[in-house]
Amino acid sequence: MAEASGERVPCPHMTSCELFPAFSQNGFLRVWQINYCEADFARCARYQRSLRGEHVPLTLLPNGKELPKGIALQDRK
Amino acid sequence: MTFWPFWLGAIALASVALGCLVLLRRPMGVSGNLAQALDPGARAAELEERTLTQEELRFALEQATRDAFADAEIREAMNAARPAKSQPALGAPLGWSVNVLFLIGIVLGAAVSGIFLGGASATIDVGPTYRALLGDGPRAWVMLFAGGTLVGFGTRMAAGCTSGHGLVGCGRFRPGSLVATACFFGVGIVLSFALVWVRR
Repeated sequence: MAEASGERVPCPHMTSCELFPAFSQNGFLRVWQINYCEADFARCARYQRSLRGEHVPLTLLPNGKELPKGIALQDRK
Repeated sequence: MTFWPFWLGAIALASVALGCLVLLRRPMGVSGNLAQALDPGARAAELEERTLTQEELRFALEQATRDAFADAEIREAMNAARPAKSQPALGAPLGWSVNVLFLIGIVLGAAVSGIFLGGASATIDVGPTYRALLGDGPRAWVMLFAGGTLVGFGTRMAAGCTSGHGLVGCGRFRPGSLVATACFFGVGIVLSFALVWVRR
């Protein structure tokens, strides 16, 4: 397997994932790509939902958590 | 029944497929449009996501990143090299309303095309070929329904149909699409010959 040889296999759904461009445009969010998109994509909640044929909401994170709804800029620290 | 010249239909289909890729940065796929249009989750998600601006999304993602990862891990990732791009990223999935509009457009386009050709009329006639094979009684309609169900099941199982795999996927030399399209047409051709042989 590619993983056993040390070669990283990227997620096959990268080009169609709605969050991937967001992760690409912001260096701060690169950690998601390194931990999921470019490595262990099988445990990504977005990938798993996509495989089931379900709609993948924009607010679903790879770790299975949802972005909080109703984020307002005035709440920013 | 008259039809438009085959090459005109090909140009129209290719234009739509290319237009989707260039303008929407999404591959065209009718079965995918239908699946999304029928998905209540997609409709609900579209209504929710309309209220989220890009800046709010970025802020929420940054907050979630701090919650999910340690500062050292985030810093290390920011300094890590990026892999070379193999193909450009596609655009965001089409919203529920866009999928519905696309499907409505298909039906309207067919109606307009028929009107221009002068042969448009509402009918439940299955046509002479199908009538010769299965008649036009209840059995024919049951077979039509069963066939349609198999088409729907198959396109979801293959994650696409002749438009998504055949037009777009094959045009992009996607291995899965090449295999799927070969199966679509291969089985269709074999079954067509089989039905004609049985009819004899």
